Amino acid sequence: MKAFDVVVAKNAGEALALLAAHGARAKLLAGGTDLLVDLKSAAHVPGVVVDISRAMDLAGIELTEHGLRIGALATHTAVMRSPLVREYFPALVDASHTVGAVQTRNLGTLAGNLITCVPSMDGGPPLLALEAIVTLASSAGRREMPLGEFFVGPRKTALKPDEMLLDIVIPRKNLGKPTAFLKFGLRKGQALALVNVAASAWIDPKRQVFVEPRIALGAVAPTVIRAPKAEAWLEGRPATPESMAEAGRIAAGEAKPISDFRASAGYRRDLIQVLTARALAQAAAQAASKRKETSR
Amino acid sequence: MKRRGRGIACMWYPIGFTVAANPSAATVKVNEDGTATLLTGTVETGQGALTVLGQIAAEALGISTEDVHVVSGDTDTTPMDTGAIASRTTYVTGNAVRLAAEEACKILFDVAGPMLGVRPDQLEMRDRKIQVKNFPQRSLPLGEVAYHAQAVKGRPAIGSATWNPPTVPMDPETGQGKPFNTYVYATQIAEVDVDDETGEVEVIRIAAAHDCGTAINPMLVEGQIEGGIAMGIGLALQEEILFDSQGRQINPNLTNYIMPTSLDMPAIEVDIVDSYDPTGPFGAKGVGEPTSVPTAAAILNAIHDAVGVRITSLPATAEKVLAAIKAGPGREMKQLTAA
Repeated sequence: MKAFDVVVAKNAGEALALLAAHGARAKLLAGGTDLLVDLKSAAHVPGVVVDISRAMDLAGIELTEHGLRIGALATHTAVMRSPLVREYFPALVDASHTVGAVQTRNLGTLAGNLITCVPSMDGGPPLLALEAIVTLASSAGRREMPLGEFFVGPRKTALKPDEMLLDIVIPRKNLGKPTAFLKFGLRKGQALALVNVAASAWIDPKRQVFVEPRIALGAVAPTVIRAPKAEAWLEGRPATPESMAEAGRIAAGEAKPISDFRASAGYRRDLIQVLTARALAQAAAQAASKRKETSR
Repeated sequence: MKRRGRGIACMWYPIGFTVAANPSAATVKVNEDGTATLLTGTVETGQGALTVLGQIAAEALGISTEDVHVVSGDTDTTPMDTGAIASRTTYVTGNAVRLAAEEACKILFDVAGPMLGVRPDQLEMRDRKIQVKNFPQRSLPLGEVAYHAQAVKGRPAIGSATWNPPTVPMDPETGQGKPFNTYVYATQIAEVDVDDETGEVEVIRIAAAHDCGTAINPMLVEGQIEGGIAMGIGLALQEEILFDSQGRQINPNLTNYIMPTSLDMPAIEVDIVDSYDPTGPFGAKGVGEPTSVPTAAAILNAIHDAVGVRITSLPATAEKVLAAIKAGPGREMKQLTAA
């Protein structure tokens, strides 16, 4: 590992000032579960590591007028334990639960998972299926963008060198939207996803049809992607096994999986089809059980 | 949809090879405070071998395992050992330890006989004492006899011994011989769920019945069996060294060489079969390697029971199992080539 400076930022304002001062020379350290691996192996280490791990103003998970706000420092463990996440978005708990091991989840942040931007990330699919918005900030100001635009390519995001991700917001209109996350790896513990899928959908209680279905696929394209054709086909269709299977077939056609030593592209397509249909079925089942609870 | 299946596999496994010299040696020293020191060349690799060897020495000396100090794996101070290999330590090294302890006992019996007014062959070691057989009230503390042997009789209570299972040469014309001194036997039954849409195999439960002769330490035997089953699951479903076209390994790290985690482990029920081998120390044979021998076969049989396909190359990855299901029952699956 080559030498570098470490500067501690006690809050977001200090971090932004340091980023403005050092620009592309600086790297932010939150949980460090990805950054430290890079620092050990990378040829080009940053000049300055800005440690934001104690900037507690970035750590909260709270309900705001815009929706559920997850701060940049919220760890996977914090996400799993948050009563708000557990109530409104259990799929997010499922996703964070499959990241690495306990130690990784205690240190690693959900935002960091998005920023590292590997296609197999587990945090991306449920957030994308819930149409999350990310807030980026620099000393010059803030901007917001849908998560889908934040993902640019493998290990490449829309963040500029002097910018940091402040928070992730799941819009208020999606609070409690039935959502399921499924991951398929080569084993149960500490596995990278061969394919992961998240599906969210409302079910019209009278007509029993899908409303605003959203499907997100991981590890089968350069970034986590939505499956817009499958979503459009499913809109207004009845929540039946046949329609969910067809949506899975369409989604499999929208992905661009690769063949490597872990699995062939064909097998990954098989998995997309199966997991998409199952995630939709789980979301529909959640909708049905919620309806039962409210009618009591 | 998940389909449940069960499979059985049986095995036998050789213990104590006899095609070449296979010696172990040990030295047992009985100290003047009634404790003992055991010198052995074998090494502890987490299997509990030193605990078992200490138990064997303690049993032979009539003392507690905590009274035995084991010095191991140091060629400056201990005898050379053939190795912690071939599931031989309890059987071969254990026999050497038992014999060495008995040599030390002989000295102590010689010294204690006149002290207790009996012949040495009328004595036994029990409860940290040397006592007249069937007359426990006529006894001396072991430490007192050891001190007397050292300080008065000038015969320190040290025993050294070697055990080498008798070497049997192979007949060069017929290839016949006797390659091993004894054998162990086991049966494992696996219960699996196979997802017929993804090919994923989940091992739900494994029942394992093993013969290891006398189980000197049943909890360690159970631990060995559970560990062997973990390796067997890796062999059956996950572990594979992959090479590119230039012969370089593609997955030379534990991120990509997939082994089971605790989350991949099934419920395991262990049954240690009652048995006794007169050639082993206190009837013991061994249990190390045999534990992972039947696991993969039981799992593959269970997959066949669940979805009707025979996987004939390991590991039975989900992709391979799904391909076999798609090809239809009864077809043999060839090895899938890596990209």
